[in-house]
Amino acid sequence: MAVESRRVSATLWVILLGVALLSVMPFAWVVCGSLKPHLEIQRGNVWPWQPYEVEKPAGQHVTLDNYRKIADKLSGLPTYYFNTVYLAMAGTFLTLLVGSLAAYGFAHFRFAGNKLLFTLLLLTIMIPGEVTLIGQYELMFKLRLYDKIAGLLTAYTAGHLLLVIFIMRNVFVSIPQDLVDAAMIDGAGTWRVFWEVMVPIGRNGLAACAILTLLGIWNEFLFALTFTSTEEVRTLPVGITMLKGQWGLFNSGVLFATVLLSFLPIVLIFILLQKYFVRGLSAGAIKA
Amino acid sequence: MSYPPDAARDVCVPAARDGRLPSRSAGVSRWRRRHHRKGWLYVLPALLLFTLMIVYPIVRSFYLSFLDYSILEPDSARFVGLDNYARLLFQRQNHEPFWHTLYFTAIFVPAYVVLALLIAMMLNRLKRGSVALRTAIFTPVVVSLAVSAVMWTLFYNPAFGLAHKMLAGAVGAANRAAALLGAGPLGAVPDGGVLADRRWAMIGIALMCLWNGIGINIILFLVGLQRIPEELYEAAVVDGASGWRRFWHITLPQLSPTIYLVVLLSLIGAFKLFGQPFIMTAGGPEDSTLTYVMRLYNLAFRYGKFQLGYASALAYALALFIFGISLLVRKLNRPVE
Repeated sequence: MAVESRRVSATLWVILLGVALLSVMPFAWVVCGSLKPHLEIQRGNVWPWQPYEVEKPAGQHVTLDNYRKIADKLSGLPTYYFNTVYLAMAGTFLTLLVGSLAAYGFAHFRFAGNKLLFTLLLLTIMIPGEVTLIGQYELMFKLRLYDKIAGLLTAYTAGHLLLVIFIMRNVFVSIPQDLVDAAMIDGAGTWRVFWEVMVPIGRNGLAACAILTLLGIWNEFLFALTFTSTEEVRTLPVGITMLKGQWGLFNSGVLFATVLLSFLPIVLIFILLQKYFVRGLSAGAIKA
Repeated sequence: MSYPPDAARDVCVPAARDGRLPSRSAGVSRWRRRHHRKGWLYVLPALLLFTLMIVYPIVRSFYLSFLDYSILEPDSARFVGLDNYARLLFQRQNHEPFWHTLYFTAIFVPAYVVLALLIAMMLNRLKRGSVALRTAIFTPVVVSLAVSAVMWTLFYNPAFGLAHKMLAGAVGAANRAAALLGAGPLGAVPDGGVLADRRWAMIGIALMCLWNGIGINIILFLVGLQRIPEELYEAAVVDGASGWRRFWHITLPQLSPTIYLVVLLSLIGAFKLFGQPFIMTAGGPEDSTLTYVMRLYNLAFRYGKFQLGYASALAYALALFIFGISLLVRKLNRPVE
């Protein structure tokens, strides 16, 4: 029995190792490609152990030239980066603030229309984003928010609100009433109860919401593509598709480096905070 | 998750304020009403933002879907009733994208769900030392679809792409195996690259989506698997049930809510396919990867006519289709429970 189970788990290890390798290989390959000049890549010499065939100096294996070209501001990457980081951080903060306040309102106050309103909100999940996209596009012009970071910020905040409200309402409802009572006996108003009871106790839920919102904004493509048209307001996902056209044909090495720089920070953060990410993703999915 | 929350605290607080035990007096109930009305204040900011940015656009799109409307000439808009919906059903340019999307769903979703379940079950069996494996397997999930699409365009490049070489190797091996069995070659990876061939392009996109997204489904299945009580399996082992029977009679039924969720999310995701083909193939070659949402996007923003009315009708048809699919999946899921 023990021998058999050891054999089974060895088999599992081998299979899963294969899956893991397949998952990681594209990353490793991009790292290798980013260290090669264009002509060598075009000849298929992507791996670092392959020496230069046409590029000078002959016999060299790797170079940092691609990164130098990006650093020399030849690429719009820094702008895209700044916009995306700004949107992700500001959007996450706003969504969490507005969303958890509303969740608190829904969870702990029995005002007239509470249930009805919440049900109506629930119903809108059925509507896919493509429907909202068209109405919002027009709205962006009316509000003079087209091609502005503020426009995307509003759209993203509104777009992730429901998720935060649902998750946080469940969290807040499960907070024991005794704690709220105790705080109120100490003279705390509802506002202080929110900050001193709800937020600290609900921090795991908030972390999950933050991760989901952050990832959602970081990855968003369709709305950013539709609501922006100039270089200054482009986000990373939209910008990198432009860079694909700009670098792909004549400077694939720079494209490799661009791709690497686009996924590196989020992948590093993911590896560091893996536990929270997985928890956040599963929390969000269970809500959906 | 009981609602309304415990009513007792309503009377507790005013008691503390005036230092007397609460009585069910008019004062208490007025305090209670005032207290609960404060809920509006907390809900209001979210409600305003949501109404402006989500509810209004939804209603506006619905209205537009009955108009012949272009944002370039808002004044010449006219009401056309159900014309847009009739056009979307009968116009041939809409049929192809619909079938492409259905084709993508058919080749992508089964692999996306079944492989994820298999990998999750294997990960769940590993008791120790699987953290590194899990991290590696989940990492592609955090890469945005745009970055991963650009990455895989390089990956599929016929001159230097690793995936191109690996696919060619795999297809070559399959052909040799077929030759041993006396069959002719099964196929060949096109020399111009996967994305430049109309029969292969969608498969290439599906493989990329699999790499990028399967981690989500694995996580969901893992959460579901961990919720199954261990005692069920122990009892089954005592009864002498084989591994296959344990899977069929315990894992699958216990997992059915998760399966429902995963299948539904995967189907919806597949049906909304847009960014990946937009970036990797721009709908080509010969429109073979032109999806439904891409058609919608093109009508609304690409063809220069900004036909927001017609595009709205397409969006609402998509909403209806997704709604129908969720009803269907729910119905199919019932007997398993």
